[in-house]
Amino acid sequence: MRTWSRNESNHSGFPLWHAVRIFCQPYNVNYSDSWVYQINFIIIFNRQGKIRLTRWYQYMTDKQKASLSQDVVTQILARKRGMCNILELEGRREARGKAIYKRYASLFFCFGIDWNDNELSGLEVLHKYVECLDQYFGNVCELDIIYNYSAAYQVMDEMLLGGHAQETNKKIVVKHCKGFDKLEESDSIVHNLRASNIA
Amino acid sequence: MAMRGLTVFIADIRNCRVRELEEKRINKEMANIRTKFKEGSLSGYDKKKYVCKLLYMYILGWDIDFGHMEAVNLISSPKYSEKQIGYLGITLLMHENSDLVRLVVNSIRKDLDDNNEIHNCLALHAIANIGGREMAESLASDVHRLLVSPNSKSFVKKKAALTMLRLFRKHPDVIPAPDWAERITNIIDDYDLGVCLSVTSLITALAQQYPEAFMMVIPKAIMRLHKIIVERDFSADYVYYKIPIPWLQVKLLRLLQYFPPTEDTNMSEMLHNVLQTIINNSQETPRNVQHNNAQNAILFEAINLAIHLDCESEIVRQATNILARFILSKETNVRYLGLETMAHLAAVTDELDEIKKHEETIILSLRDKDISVRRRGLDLLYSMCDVSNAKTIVSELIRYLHIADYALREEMVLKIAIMTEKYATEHSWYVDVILQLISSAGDHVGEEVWYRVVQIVTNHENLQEYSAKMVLHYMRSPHCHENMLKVGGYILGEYGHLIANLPGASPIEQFNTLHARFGLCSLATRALLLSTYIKFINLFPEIKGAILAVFNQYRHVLDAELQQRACEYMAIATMPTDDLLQTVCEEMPQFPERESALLSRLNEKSGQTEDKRTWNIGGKDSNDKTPANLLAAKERGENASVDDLVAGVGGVTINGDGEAGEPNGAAQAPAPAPAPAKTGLSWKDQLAPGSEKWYNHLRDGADGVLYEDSILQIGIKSEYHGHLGRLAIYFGNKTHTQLNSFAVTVDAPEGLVIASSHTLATSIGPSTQIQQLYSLECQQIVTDVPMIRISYHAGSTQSVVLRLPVLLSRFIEPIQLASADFFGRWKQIGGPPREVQEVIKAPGKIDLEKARAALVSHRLGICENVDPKPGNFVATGVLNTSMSGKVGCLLRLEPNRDTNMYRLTVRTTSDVVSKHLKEILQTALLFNPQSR
Repeated sequence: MRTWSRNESNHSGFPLWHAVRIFCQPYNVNYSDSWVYQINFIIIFNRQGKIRLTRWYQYMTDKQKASLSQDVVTQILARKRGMCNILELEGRREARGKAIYKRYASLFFCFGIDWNDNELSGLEVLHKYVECLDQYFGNVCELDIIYNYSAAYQVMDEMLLGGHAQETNKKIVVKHCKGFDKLEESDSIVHNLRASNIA
Repeated sequence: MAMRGLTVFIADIRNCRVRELEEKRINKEMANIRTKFKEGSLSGYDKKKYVCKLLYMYILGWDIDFGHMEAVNLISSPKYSEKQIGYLGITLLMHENSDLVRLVVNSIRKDLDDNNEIHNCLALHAIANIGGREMAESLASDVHRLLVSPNSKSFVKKKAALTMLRLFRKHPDVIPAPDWAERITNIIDDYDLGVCLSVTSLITALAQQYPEAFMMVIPKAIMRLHKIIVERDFSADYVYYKIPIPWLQVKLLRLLQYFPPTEDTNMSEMLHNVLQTIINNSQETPRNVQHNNAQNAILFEAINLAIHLDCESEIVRQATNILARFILSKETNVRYLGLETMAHLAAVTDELDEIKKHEETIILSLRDKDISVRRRGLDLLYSMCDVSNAKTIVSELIRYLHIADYALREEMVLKIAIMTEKYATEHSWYVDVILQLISSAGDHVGEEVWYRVVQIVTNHENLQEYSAKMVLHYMRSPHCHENMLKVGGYILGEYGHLIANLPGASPIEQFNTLHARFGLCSLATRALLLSTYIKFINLFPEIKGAILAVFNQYRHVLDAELQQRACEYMAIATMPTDDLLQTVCEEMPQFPERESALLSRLNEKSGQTEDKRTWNIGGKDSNDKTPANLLAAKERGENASVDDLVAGVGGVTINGDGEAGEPNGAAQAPAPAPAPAKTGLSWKDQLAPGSEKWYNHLRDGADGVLYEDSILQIGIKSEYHGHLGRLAIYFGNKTHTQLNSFAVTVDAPEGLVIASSHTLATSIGPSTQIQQLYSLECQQIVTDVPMIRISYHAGSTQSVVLRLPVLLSRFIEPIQLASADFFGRWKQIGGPPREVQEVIKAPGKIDLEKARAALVSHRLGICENVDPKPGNFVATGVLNTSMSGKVGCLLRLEPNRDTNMYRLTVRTTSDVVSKHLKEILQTALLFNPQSR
């Protein structure tokens, strides 16, 4: 509600004086990318800031990935207990959004989500992932994820695909992953047999 | 992935205490692998092992520039373990624009077509993680096949849905989404909740691009929510800390926010029920963190949806109370989200009183220990600001600015500047605040802020003197920021003469104040000040000498810009006459009104360029262009061009409540006419073939069959009274199998309200018939008939689009008039445009009884013995509408047996009705039932 009346007269001429040149950049809304809220990246790192697992669901160059993950890790490690699990990522064009994170023992699990996504829902997907890992490995610890990183990826891919939750039923996720392991085992049995034959 | 070599390598790396050692070990391993790969002829196992090692190094953050080919080779291995590592490798090492994508497309297609579901899944994972154009173009149809095929297992379907989503997001042009809409939407009914979850994500994306094509998802989403939340019908495996599949609930609630509120009363009641249940469930705070989070995740989404539906509803009021409790919570997450959701509410509602009650708490949140919370507090204050509280909020923010985080300051300055401009009630207040802001926030003031000040001062004459006085005052303070100098230079140059007579503000004093800081500021500012000086020469010839000295001095500086200005100004000032000087230094014209540069800057800052948000932070006006609102405008039949949106909405409102009760046709005429054209068009194209003949038989209001094919039979029964009507539609399944995913949508033209009395079943058993009742209300004059779209799944998804024979004449009540009355009114109405006449060639021989029947069936009362010529018909009726009042209808039908022609004259109190009624009757008279 403005009090001063708007002057009706309209001067078409532009100011001669060159210091005040551009008042208003044309602002174009670009709707080319359809918008569905999704997880943009997953970073798992430990208390020393060592990255244990990453998954990127949006395109970034390796350099951008490195700088973004470094940034996120430093900021999260600097946050104190009792602060909320949401970190707003400002000033990054490639990933304007939020990071939601939670600490489990020595590991931090962090998801990058879109600005208006539902933070709590994301946090619980994260928790579910940890539960699934826990069930799969049986009391999971950092070493499990280090030595069996491909299994950790497998559990992740069974739960989340392309940045969206696909299955939240722990039983089904773990069942599938164990099923894959059986396939793998049968492969390695064949391999061992061959190896012994050659010997 | 039990491989000894890998385990040893990982252990080695872990034992490296220092980074140098790690680097050494990595380099050694890389060299080793490189040679192995070069030698070639590696076994699958070794290849897998080395790729695994490379991947581990990649995760640790080392650059991997080889080994991609080996990963690609592993994909086509027959062994699962090798294939799996190959796929993991490409998803980690490749990106969408990678050249290697071309090499894997064929292997991926082979795995998609494979009968082994596990291979399907691995392939889908790869597409979902890499998914560039190459893949979208060559694989989208395969993915779609896996998604909709009835033979796909649900764990393949889930993945296919999300893979499709990825491809669509990246390259929407590749996916013919509207064609697939129906089959994709039907999957939402899948019994498997995991499938439902994935498909909901997919539909959310598609629906944003093609809202009309996905309209039919609305009732499905509502029913699914109702089933889970109210009926509590779900599989126990999906319960997460006592909450049934919270993620699906959140997704569905979010999906509904992309559509305008549904008009179906049953559906909206159901949805209301769902929201109310969620609110009721949230009255208690569970102890368990997970339980609490899941519950709140749903609650916040439900509140957002409730705000979207109607921000003044009772539910939103209840929600506001919950939010008020949340922003006081001890738990930081809850505080954060409470503030965020309240900002959403404040951004769309007119009713800020409830929120204002908590102003103090919100201001306190600016001092929260967590920066995330502080940010939300700032946003909320910005959103809830209006004329009444602007002063408090702005002064709080300015006070807080000094201690605010550096990261926050620039945004704060912008917001303060915008609020001050928007809600200023006194000129002096605006100037005071802005100048205080510029002087205290210093470096955090962006260029836009001071540009805007100049713009506003120039455009408002009554601000000019006061601001000139104030800038002079500020520039004399010991700490004067350069931005202040810029504003000061501009304003004094333009309006310095207005204060020249005040003590301490004489021309030379003004000049001295500016020039005292001249040497300390940047080149750009100096250039600006030189321009001020030339203006001073024009305004105050008495200080010309001092200024010329400055110009003279600057004619020799190194900077080209300054030098040029100094030379030019010098030349202008020393000309024999002042003509040019006066022309150049004429007072600045007013700036044309444009969008505030501040707002665009703020929008840029929040980077919403690609974000189809459901809402934006800021006042109500910043929320008019969200997708759902655009859609709502589209629904009203407007071309949703953003520019004429406002005009469009305005027009519709005027027509909506246009002079109710007065049957003034001219006023309402334009309203209904263009509206149905838009929505109806796409449907009309797909009218079921052959449906015309059934429709024509039912035009006169009879009950009977509306459509029939080998699967479905549809019949209708109807009755009308005044402006109200009831319509029963029967759907009969003629086959011996059940019809699934049965859905009916009705598209009513504007002015006609069609509500279903209860929710229709989603399936029809073999050889059974179900009935759906609709109540009709004619609110305005309607010239189009409603359309109905029936879709069902029987082997494949089918749909039928039909017209419903609800003509305008249904809402006419017949009356009988005596001769004198009739002719009195006939004359009163007069000739065109309210009279319409047509000569109609009868299809067969003229049959008076048939003509009479045609008039009666369109609910007109035949007035006997009125027309002097026997054989002529005179008929009258009153058209009833609930909002546009009544329209009297009179007509004469003169048959001419010799020429086999009718002359039809219709006079009504509305020209639209006259024209339309004539058309209805003309069709009725032309209709020849014998052609059956």
